Amino acid sequence: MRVHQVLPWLGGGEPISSQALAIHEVLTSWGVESRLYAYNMDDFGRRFAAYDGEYRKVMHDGSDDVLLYHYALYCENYGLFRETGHRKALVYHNITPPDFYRDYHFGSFFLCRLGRDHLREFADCDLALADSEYNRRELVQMGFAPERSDVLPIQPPLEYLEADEDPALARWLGDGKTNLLCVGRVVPNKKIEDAIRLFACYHHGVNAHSRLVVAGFMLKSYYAALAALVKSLGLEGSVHFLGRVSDAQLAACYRGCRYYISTSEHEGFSTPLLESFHFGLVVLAYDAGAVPETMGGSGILFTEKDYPLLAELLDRLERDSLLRERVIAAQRERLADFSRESFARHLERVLARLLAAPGEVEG
Amino acid sequence: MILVNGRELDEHGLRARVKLRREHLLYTPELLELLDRDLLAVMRESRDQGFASLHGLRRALDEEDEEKDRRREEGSRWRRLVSATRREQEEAEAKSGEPARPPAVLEPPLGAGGEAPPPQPEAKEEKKDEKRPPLRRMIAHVVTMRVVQGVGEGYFQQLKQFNIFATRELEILQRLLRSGNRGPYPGRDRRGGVWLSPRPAWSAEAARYAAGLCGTGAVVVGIPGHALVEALWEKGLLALAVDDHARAVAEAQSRFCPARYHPRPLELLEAARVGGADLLVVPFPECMEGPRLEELLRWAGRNLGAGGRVLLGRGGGEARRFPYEDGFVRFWPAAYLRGLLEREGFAVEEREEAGTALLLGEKGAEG
Repeated sequence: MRVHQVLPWLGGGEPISSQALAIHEVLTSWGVESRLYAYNMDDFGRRFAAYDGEYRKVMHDGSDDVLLYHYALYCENYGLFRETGHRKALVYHNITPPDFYRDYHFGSFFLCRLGRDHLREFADCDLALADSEYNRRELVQMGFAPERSDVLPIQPPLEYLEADEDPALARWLGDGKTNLLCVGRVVPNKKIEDAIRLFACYHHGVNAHSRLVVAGFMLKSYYAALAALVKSLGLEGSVHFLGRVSDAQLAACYRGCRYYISTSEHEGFSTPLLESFHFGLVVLAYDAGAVPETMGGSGILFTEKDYPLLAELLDRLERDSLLRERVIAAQRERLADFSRESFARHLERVLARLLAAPGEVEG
Repeated sequence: MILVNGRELDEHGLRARVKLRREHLLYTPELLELLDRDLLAVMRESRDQGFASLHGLRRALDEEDEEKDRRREEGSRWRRLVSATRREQEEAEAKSGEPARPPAVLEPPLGAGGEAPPPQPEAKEEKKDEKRPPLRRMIAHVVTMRVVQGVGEGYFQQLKQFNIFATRELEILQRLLRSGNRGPYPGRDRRGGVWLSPRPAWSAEAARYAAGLCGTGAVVVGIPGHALVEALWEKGLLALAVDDHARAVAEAQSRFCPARYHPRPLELLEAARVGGADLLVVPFPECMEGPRLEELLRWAGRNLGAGGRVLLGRGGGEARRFPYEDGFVRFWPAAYLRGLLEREGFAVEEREEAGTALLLGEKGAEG
């Protein structure tokens, strides 16, 4: 048996690619033949994958092979999933509700809408996998059979962050200021404006000796709006958008910051939360999407965006090292649930389910 | 509700502190209003209209890219669907204003023999091109480049910080060399009294003296420790305390004093429209560049009425330093400061209060 994985995109530092590569690694370590295909890829991806057209050549070979199709956005290669003769599992990473993009980027708005519209077409798969229980429930709501759905959590790729940190950035962040961090794509559903508002209360009302660092790819029309907010709030020089950063720079950000802020209103999983757990940042996250599930009862979760109150909480954390240590310890404990061993056990279970399912294998 | 490690946090203490900060005006009404304002509305109402223009241009460029892609991949089925869906959405929204439904062309599913979408009307494309003449497109690209520069700004800030650190380390090394008498060092006898961060704080006596000069309201530009801000706040005379030195502001904030941080204090002073103040305190004029200092004293000349006072701190060092950072300062000669004050109509006298050298300017009735 071989396991084929088809993705829309395979590239470095991207959670879906990391998930596919984690599966690939575990399968290879078991001695199972694993193949990766992508609609498009960067140089990093080319080291592991072939273009998805290659899969078409083998998908009707009458073997007992398995296809795992990763879905997070509409992609033309979804036809492979529909037409394959192999047993097939959808790996659903969630699609951002398109309305978040309405005022900022039509292309993303459209792709998200198309992606969600097409999701129902996958309901006849042998097994629907989601990377969180939240995503699995969403699939069931969309018409997937609950008994043919399961959860395969993401294994956060933390090794690449163990690299040497960027010295210039580390030095800049190590000047004694209280650093707050947001990591991830700067896109509307992440609600970076709310993180800026929280920071405004903290900076103007509680501790001016502080800065907010935002690291990640930026949607420029959204960035323009955020920049206007930063200026209106008088925070120029205190809020820093780093744009896309290298692994070394990201490592410096995690090591140089004390608090991770997530104000996102739609998350299918959220890998940066686990990365923050790993680096010992205290995580303050808004209760939305799969965030509470990812945090698993550790860290700080808030249900209301009461910015002055949260700013005061940050101040308390600054002054109360015992509380801070308790939070960090609980976060580290939670991180153990996402170990490689745990991931391998999950993968073994879902593959067993997939192979036991009455599939439509040709032959 | 706030959950800490899964357990609900007792918020009473935090709420009490929030209330206190509100009462002490640490959260200004403008700030509180901005917390609830829609992001796009903030952008449209921003004093800097560049952001709104950028947002619009960026969207136009995105749409243009979409259009190019569409032409390039005309044979691609899903691209045709993009056009059809967009057109249907625009038509539906124009008609009813209600959210558009997915087009019929998506049913039955792709790959199952759906109908071909109607061709794109040519007239519409021409109109689109008319909307975007080459000059506008060029401007849009220039603006985009500026955004890219803005993104790179973070890197330059790092570089600047690195230079500051390198300079500071060099200074410390020089000081060590001098103090250890490890060899002759030119000018070693003259270089005493140079500040290193943090800046020296005013004593309680000096702060009381300054607060005593104020009758209706004081503006403090540069915070010399918490004593002055606290003394003015307790008397209800603090109109505005602003500094570009974050640590000084944070210290005042920790005592619930309404100090403000701003990278360009003068800009905040103009924006805040402080009225009714009769005292301007500038404890560290040496932390300001000459033109900024002149601008600030010009503001004082305009806004402080008859009997209004300006109190300038005077450092004890020499004007031989590089003004790289807070603490690395260029001391302004007393004659220069005196000249600036006199030019704005202040009568000047030199004073020393509790070990702090000061320059007091007082505006006469004719000023």
